[in-house]
Amino acid sequence: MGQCLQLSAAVCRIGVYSCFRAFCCKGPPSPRTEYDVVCVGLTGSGKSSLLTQLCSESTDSIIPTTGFSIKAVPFQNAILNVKELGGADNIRKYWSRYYQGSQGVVFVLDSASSEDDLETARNELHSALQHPQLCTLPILILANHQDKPAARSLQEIKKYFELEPLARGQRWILQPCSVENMDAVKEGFNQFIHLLEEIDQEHIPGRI
Amino acid sequence: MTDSKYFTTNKKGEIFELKAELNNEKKEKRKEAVKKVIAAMTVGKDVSSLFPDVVNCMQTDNLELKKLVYLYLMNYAKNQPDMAIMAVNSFVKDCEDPNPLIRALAVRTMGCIRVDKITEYLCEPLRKCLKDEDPYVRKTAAVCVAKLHDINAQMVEDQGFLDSLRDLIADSNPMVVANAVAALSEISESHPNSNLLDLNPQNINKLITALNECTEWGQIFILDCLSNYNPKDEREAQSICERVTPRLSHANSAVVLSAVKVLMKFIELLPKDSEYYNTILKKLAPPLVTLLSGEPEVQYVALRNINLIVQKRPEILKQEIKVFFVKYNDPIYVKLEKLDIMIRLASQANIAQVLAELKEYATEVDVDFVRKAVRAIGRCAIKVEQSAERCVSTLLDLIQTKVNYVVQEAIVVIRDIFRKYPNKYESIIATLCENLDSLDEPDARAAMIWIVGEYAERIDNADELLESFLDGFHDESTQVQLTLLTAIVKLFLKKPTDTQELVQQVLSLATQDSDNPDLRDRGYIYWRLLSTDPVAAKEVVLSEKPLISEETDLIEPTLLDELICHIGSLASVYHKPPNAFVEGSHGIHRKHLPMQLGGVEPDSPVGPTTTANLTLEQQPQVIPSQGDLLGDLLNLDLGPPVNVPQMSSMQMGAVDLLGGGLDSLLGGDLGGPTGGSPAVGQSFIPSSVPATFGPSPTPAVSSSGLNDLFELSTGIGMAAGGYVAPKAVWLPAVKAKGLEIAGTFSRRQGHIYMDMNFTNKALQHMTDFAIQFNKNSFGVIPTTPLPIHTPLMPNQSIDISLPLNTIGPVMKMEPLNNLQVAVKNSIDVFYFSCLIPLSVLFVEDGKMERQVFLATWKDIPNENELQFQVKECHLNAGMWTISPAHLIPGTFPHYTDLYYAASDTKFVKEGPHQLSLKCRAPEVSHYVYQVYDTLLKN
Repeated sequence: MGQCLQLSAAVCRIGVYSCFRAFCCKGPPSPRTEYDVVCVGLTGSGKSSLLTQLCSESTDSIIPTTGFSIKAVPFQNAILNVKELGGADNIRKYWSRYYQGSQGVVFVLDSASSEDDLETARNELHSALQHPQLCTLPILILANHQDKPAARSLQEIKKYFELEPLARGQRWILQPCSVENMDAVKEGFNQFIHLLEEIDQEHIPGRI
Repeated sequence: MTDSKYFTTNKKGEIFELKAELNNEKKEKRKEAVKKVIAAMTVGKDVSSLFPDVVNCMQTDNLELKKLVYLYLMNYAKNQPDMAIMAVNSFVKDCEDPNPLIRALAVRTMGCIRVDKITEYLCEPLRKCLKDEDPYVRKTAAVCVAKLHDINAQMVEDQGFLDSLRDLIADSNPMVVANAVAALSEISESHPNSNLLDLNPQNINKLITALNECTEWGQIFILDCLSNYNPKDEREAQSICERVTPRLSHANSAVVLSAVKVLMKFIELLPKDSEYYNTILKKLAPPLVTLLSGEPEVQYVALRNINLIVQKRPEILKQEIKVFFVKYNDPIYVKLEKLDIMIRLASQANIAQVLAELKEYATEVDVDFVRKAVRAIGRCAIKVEQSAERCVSTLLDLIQTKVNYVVQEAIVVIRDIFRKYPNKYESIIATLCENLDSLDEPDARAAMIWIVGEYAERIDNADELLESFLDGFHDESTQVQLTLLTAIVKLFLKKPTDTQELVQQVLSLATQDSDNPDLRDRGYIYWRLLSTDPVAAKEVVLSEKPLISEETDLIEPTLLDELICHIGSLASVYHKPPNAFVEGSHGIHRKHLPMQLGGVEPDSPVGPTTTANLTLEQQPQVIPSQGDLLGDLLNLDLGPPVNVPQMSSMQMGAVDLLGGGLDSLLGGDLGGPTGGSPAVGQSFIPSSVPATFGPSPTPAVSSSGLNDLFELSTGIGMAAGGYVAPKAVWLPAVKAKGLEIAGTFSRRQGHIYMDMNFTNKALQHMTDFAIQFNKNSFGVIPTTPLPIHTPLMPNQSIDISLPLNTIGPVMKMEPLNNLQVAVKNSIDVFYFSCLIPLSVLFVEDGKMERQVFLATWKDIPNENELQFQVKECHLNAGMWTISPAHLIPGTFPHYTDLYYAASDTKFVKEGPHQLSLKCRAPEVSHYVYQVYDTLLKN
């Protein structure tokens, strides 16, 4: 009798414990997903400015990035670890060495730049997109400086950069923006994050 | 299958694995990977190809990982100079990190990355760090400036970092002050002329305040810097000394030595009779003694420094001789050094103790040490006259031991004792002669032969003894051969009766059968002396010798003073000035002891050297390299080989060597010409007799040769300013639309003038004259505008004198003395160039002390020496010497250090002359020579 009682008490204790575990110890809520993204573009296209603004930091003391800079940019449902590479001539040649490990590409271009620069930007974009480590990744192209009078329209840029034939099979977004209009930037990034998530989802079954 | 298979492999290798790991998503993995990379790097594997991947890990908040990446960067940034630019932004960010440790780490690493291309990017972060709120960052940044200066000096100056450094001297934190001082000292070493460390009483005060609070290494920097300061009066010197003195009791021996250095320098400025002077001397002794209780290596360094201090100021340690007594377990290098200092400190008061010790040492087992101990006894005898007797008897005791090397060493020192106290201890010669057979070292043999020759008249069998050496004449070393030759000639002059054959024999051995030019020359000289005038020969060969100086092995006073300024550095251990062993240190500023104000003070009263003469005589023995110098000087005394004009008389002389020539000496006929003589004469005449002395090994001759050089100075040097070349047409009228300019340069009352004659050959008048010089090698610029105030009418001519100075901008011209001039007038601008005669740039007060000249001459490398033949000169006196003193030092503005010419010349009335010239900068030699040439011809 006493044994029975003891046994049932033990069974109860186990039951209560498992209930408690199920109820309370789910662990912390799953963190926002992090994506590693590489951000390139010519000098003066506004990479650092945009990223700094996205992090809500002061843009007063921005100097051209010599080398690279890694920033964690928070969004509502994801955090982007953006590795921003400087756009000066002597740094561009090393871009390709810093692509590895990226899950997405951000390309910033100056919509109001001279023809020559635009030409350079196009070449850089093309060679970046054809790089084996980047060619399958989703890409966000920010046509910056839309607020300037000389800025080219989205259509012009799309045509000039031959985006449609180029990015065949790749997911891409072309987003006009300016430093003044951060909503557009955020909008572009949100779409971009969607793309990243989609790919993530596709890949998860594959991974398992 | 071809051999190409060897080049394709499936193995990816370690580098590939590391690369993959470095790009891993997980931070922990990446850190592990960087650690592996660093490990591979330290064992010497080349992991430079991982540069971008490692740099990729740089931006992390993990301090450990950051440090590892920085370590990697320091190593490989040089291999990947282009790619190093990728790290720049990370440095910039880290220099703004909230954590001061990271800021300092970043700035330190920046300094270590010696890549020229990225330095410019690092200036801004460095500037911020120099003004950082955290002292740790500031002190790191201060050192970084020095490092950056080494990479790109110009940039550091342009960016104003030097001013920032100077501001840091006033910093509130003592470590920052110390590092700023260290950085500035380092930088100023490469800029000997710039007054970077502007040391003024305020700054000094700040430094001394910081001195008490900073770390030991900081103290050393500050003390070293203090030692370069020249206090303006003795009160200031005293107050600095008072505040430095507590450092003497520091536990770090380097701090102690630096403090000693400061005191040794400033004590020069204190009056010798002041109480404080004596207090300092008393305070200096205990710390120096304490240094000797350290490790043997530290002891050695301390002893080398003490050796210098004892030479400069023996009074400091005169009471402490006992601490320099050798312990049985001292390493040999310490023993030898202690012995050296013991001898320097030996005095009448302590000689008994010292001798007892030395006698003890002479019975030890270590051969080198024993030898030095025996030599030390000899030096004591020479130094302390009262002890000479006791020393000699000690030496005799040692000779009785019959230990070979002891005997030989003893004989060498006894020779010196004989030189010092002639005719006093000859009674021991008999004992010495007993050991003749056991001597096998050249030094000892030469010493013994010298003794026999010198006292030939008292040694009955001197001829037999010397003859016994003659048998193996050609197997002896040069030193022994020369001594033997001289000894036999002495013997002959003293006892001519039965030694003719001997002298004949040695002369023919030395001249005919020897290939050694020194020996042959000396042989011929004796031969000619004996054959022409035996009385003169007697006077020359048996002349009274100058006494040898009291102290041997002294460091030359100028060098000693310089070394005192380097106490606590390698220079004081080597006993060589830094530029003798530091590569690429031509620019190093030579340090000097401060001079007491109000008159030049002779060296220390008990000091080793009192007159230049004494030092000169002992130099051949003291400093081996000095011998070379003397050789140099003597070699250039006398011209190239000259044919002997009086052939017949020579022949006669040779034949008559032992005949008529000797009559006057002996007062009787000594027999006719011997059989060999004519042959000797024959072979002797056709070869022209070189009139050159070889480097003379005997001090007496050397010093007299030098005296010639120095004492026969005349005022030729002074004429340098006086001589003015005739005016030459610099700008012909045809080239300058009618303006003709003729001119020359002159020097009057210490100022340089450009004397010009302007002539207007045009048909219109000219006004508005102006003149400008292009940058030139000597920075010559006009001090006033062109003094032509009235219009120059046609066919009018005007003489003007334009004063010049040498403070203008400098640019090297080709040729060096080229000057490009632009003259403007109302018509046009005209250009011409002319040559500045170097003589106008020489300053009048270039007189140089003999010592300084010798040191300078020695200091300039031999390959800079140029010899010129002076074909004609219009000097009418018999013998002239352009004293080297007149034309030498620092005469070229802006090139003070570079163009430091030393020359020395002797002119005889007839025949070609030789002029030897040494310049610091060899390229000016020819120009300096031209000056001599011009002066001599005019």
